[in-house]
Amino acid sequence: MSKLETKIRVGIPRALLYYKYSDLWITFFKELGAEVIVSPKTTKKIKDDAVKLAPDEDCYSTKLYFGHAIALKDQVDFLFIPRYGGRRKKYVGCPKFIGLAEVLQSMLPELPDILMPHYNRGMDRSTRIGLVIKAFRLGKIFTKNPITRIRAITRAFRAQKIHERSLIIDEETLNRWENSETILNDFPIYNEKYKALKIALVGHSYVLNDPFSSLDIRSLLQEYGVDIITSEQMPRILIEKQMARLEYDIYFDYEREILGTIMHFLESKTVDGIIHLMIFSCGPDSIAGEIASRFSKRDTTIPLLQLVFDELTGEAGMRTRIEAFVDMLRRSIEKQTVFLTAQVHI
Amino acid sequence: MTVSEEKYFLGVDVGSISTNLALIDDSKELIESVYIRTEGKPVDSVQNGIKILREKLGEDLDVTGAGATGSARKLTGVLIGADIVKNEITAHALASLHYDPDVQTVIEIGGQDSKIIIIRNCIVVDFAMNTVCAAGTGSFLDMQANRLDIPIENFGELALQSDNAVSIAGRCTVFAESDMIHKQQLGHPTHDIIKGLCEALARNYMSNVGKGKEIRSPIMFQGGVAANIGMREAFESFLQKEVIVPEHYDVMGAIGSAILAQEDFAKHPKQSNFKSWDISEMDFNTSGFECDGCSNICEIVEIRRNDILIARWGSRCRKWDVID
Repeated sequence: MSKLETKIRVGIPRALLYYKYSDLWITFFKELGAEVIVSPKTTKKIKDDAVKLAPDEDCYSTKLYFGHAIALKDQVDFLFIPRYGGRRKKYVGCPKFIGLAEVLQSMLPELPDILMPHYNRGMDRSTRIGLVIKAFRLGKIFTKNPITRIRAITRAFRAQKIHERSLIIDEETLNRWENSETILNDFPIYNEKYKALKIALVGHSYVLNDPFSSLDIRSLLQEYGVDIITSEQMPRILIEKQMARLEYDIYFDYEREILGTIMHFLESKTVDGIIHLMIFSCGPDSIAGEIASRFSKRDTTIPLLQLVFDELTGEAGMRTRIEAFVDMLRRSIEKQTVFLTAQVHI
Repeated sequence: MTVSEEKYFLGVDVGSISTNLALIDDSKELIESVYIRTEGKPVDSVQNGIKILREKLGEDLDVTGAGATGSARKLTGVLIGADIVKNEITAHALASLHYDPDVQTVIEIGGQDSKIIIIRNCIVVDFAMNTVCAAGTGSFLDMQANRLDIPIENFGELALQSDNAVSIAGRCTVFAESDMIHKQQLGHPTHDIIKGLCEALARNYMSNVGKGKEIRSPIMFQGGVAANIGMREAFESFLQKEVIVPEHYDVMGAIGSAILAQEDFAKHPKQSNFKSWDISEMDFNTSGFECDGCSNICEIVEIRRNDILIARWGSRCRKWDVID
């Protein structure tokens, strides 16, 4: 009984990379015997706290991260804020993520201790073995038992692998989705007045999966009877194929996924439209956004809508744009159908 | 009830500055329209607009379908009992296409919004709206006209009198204003400054919402600001192309909304939700409160008609939502 009460509490902010690695992190700490507390979904209060505290220059999502950390600070023994540079040799993640823990410490001196292991495969040649060693050392805070620690690491890796396998689809599943034989996300609400639409929703996982920062665009599209696929779900091989078309190498790992997805659908023409969610003042987003819009101008068959979000984004204007975009796609399909039937009559 | 077999469709467009109503017949021809100022009271202005339209028509025509658009479209939809509630981009595009099926570009500048709509083969293929900046919209021109003590109606005429536009920084409303004051203090005549202002706004529009868009003719210019002949001139000289201001430029949103109602009825005929011409006599009441159910602290709005709750919205979780 007393053992349960003395569990070490680890807080994980529900923001940024949480949306990619939640399974890995939560499994790891739980297996070590810790109590994991994840901050609640983004609320207005979290946003207000975040915007008040965070440095101006940070992107909206990074600001929100600080809000989530504040929401946790009085309930936990440790905050887990890894200094994570990226998992690939050649490509980098976001440099801001490496500094999160230290920036937070400099702003709020009275924080609980922060667990901030560093991992950056691209820059300092951190190896996978290196990652295991770091995790093993980190685990010592929770248990001295080496077997428990090794088990926590392997189970965490397995959980992450399962998560990614269920998230990322293969080419065959993509084909079936394109042929309307399967649904990959929430069931769109169909209306007999409307035709079902297919839209690729593209953006960072922490935007796609946070209804607050994306103004709940997923529910909105669902309501409009739109069947979506997200950039997170795209087969890696197709992304890399698109990246190979570029004359330059995009070295921002997350942006490869985003740009690759947009380029894929512009080329394959298997969706009715593409919506690109961007975060204000995100550097890589603005580069990928510009490249994407240039590709879309070269071949305008599949319309691309780019939306930029920040704390000042007006919900009304955003809804108007999304609604108008869906209308535009729907009316153009209807027109083409009328045109085709007219031809048949001739 | 009227004896005629003719069907009529009502469109109501409530924006930040103006409220427009249009009544069209089955062949989408405009029967009558109303343009009044919203003055921050959308409910009153819808009621007032309906009353004026009713008086103008002289008889209570049967409304077969009603549409609502504009930034207050949701509220308007509830007030009048709209059959279709659609965004203003779709509405404007449809109205433009009705008056010129060949239209390729629509420039629409309203009170606080400015939009560009790109049309190819009668289909909207691209659009853009101003985001966080209202420089170059009607409100700004209104303010400057006020400051210069010129009735907004004469603004455009004055601009035409100038053949030597003063260059004004149009990137930001506040800076444009300080620049104007500076030019006044240097002694430039008012009409040169006004022309400079029109040109700055046209430039700002093109580099903002018009950025990267391929502007082909015919170009239609509509919305309240299209009344300003100086702005039309400024667009023409910037684009080096003819810019057409349609006859009913100020009520195009309402016409588009009525067309949407007409199309909807043609596809799915049904009894209209339109309340009645007595809307202006009814007692509407809006009130609001903050929900303390969670830390989102949503602002909930309630609308009552003759003390009966007809609509409520505003919560992220939608637990309060009621729509009549």
